[in-house]
Amino acid sequence: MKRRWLTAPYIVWMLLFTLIPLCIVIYYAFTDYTTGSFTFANITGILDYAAIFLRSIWLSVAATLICLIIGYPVAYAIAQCKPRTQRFLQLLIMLPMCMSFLLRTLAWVALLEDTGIINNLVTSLGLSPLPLIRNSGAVILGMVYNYLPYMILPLYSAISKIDPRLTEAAEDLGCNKSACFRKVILPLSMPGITAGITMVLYRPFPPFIFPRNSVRRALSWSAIS
Amino acid sequence: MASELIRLQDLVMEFGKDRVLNSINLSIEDKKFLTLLGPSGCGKTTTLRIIAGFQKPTSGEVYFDGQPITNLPPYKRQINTVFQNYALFPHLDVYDNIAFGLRISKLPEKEIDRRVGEMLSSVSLRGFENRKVSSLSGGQQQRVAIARALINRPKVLLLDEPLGALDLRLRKDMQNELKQIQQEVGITFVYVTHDQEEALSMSDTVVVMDSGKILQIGTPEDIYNEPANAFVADFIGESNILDGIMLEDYKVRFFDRDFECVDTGFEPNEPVDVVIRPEDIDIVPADPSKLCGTVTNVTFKGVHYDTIVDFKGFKWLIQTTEFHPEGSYIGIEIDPNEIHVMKRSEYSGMFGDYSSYSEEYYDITNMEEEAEEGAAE
Ligand SMILES: Nc1ncnc2c1ncn2[C@@H]1O[C@H](COP(=O)(O)OP(=O)(O)OP(=O)(O)O)[C@@H](O)[C@H]1O
Ligand SMILES: [Mg+2]
Repeated sequence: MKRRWLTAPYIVWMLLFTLIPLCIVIYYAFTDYTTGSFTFANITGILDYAAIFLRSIWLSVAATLICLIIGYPVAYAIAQCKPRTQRFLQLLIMLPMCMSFLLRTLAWVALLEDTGIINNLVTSLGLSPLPLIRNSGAVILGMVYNYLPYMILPLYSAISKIDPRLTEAAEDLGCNKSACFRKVILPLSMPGITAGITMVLYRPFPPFIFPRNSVRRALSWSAIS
Repeated sequence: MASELIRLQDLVMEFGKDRVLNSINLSIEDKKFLTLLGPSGCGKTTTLRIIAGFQKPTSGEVYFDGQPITNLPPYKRQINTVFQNYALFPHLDVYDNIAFGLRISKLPEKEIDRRVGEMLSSVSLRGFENRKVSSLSGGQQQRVAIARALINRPKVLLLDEPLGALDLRLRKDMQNELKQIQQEVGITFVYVTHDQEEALSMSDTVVVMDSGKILQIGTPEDIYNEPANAFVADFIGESNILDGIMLEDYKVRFFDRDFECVDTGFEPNEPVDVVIRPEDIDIVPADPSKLCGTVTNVTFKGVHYDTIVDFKGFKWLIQTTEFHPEGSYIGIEIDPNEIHVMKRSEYSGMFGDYSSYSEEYYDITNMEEEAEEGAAE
């Protein structure tokens, strides 16, 4: 028997917090902010921000690819371990996710800033400080660091579901290790790759491009309250 | 006399402290059908995996055509496997599964198409080319698995309980089909099963194993008629296993009676195991000169009656075509040819009489097998 009414809370939730806000956004998109009259000005205004949009997209794509390239071997290696080790490593991967995004990011700031730990080391060697922060590289680094678990976990769950007998069957039919990977393991981990990419690519990342001061302020504010 | 293709020499396999294979020596002849038969967990799959190259033995050598191949990876061996649960590639359709091996060896696509077509007809799967393997029935999946292995024209095909998941009817059909395929393509089959009937009806050679050891190697007739010890006798078909004493050549004593037999070469008065197959016993009218007992249970089995007879507290299974009602007092006669005398072994005394006989012993063994398979998955 289908219990349709069980979905009611979910539907109400979606109405209140997704559908209605969306409608409001659409309403404001086509009205003038001060007069409230209908206008396309907001839409045509997008062009002014095109460069920023493209940069965001480019950064996301780059970070996602790097996550995939780092994450896949890690996920694969974990899937080959003994079950106990697997559980432990899985926990280790998830651990940073329990920490505040802000704190993790600030830790990187402390490492990378012009008077940060790394540059202190560099200048103490008599070299000029490296431009480590406030550039695309730093943004990508921060995103990769923060979102890597979201790539590794779906990959791991897909790879660990692959029946080891399938790789044996491939070897039996003449595949060496690399052919075995290309013909069997990679196609069968496709669901994990798609899930990982989706989770990392569409993840919003505004906090990271906060000017550092506002991060500080937010932090001290949350400490007071 | 066929030539030797594979030789296993002193194979030992240990997992941690568990010794799973204990000094296996076996010669596998070219173009023959050899079956490894034994109860669950006796090391059949392990032996097969060592031949295929998935597992390295702790010690010992595998020879193929006289060359040691113990350290050769699986993809370099001219051996293909039909896995216990088929292990078909779920991301490929039937055609691509079967073509897999040929694509790896980079055959021209035209040649592949021709051979896959041939293979599909020989396993009666024409028209299934583009089906997903998960949408196939057990029997169809099993045929795909066989086709996928055979298309590479290996010298040896290893089959690990390929019919285990099929129902009885389909199993019988596939047994015939497999035997036919083996004879047509003329390659060596190494077949694993724990179904003794299957082993006897399909094989040229049967190898009976238990707890990592080979107990007997022989033709199906040898194994059935001249079991090497009580375990083999009990495992292959039904049998009454009795304690006896070999008085002298051609004379054995059990139940305080002397019987004529055809066995020689024992010490005088040596304790022995005596095996008598249920179908080799004739029921005759009770007579003081004969061994006599009371019928305690009769079950109709179609071709014959399973008759349980109590001889001084020890129950025998006798299979006869005549009906003897429960409670009747009868005598028996056994032809000297049908009394098999075996040396005592570690298995002596492990197999009791038929007092726990169940009318549905076939069903019960089948159910046990299924439960084990379920647990293994
Ligand atoms: N990788 C492994 N690690 C530890 N023990 C193993 C391993 N593989 C097999 N064994 C053990 O080796 C023994 C023999 O296993 P094997 O799979 O060869 O049995 P089998 O004869 O094929 O049984 P079945 O009829 O149930 O398939 C079993 O006791 C099993 O638990
Ligand atoms: Mg097995």
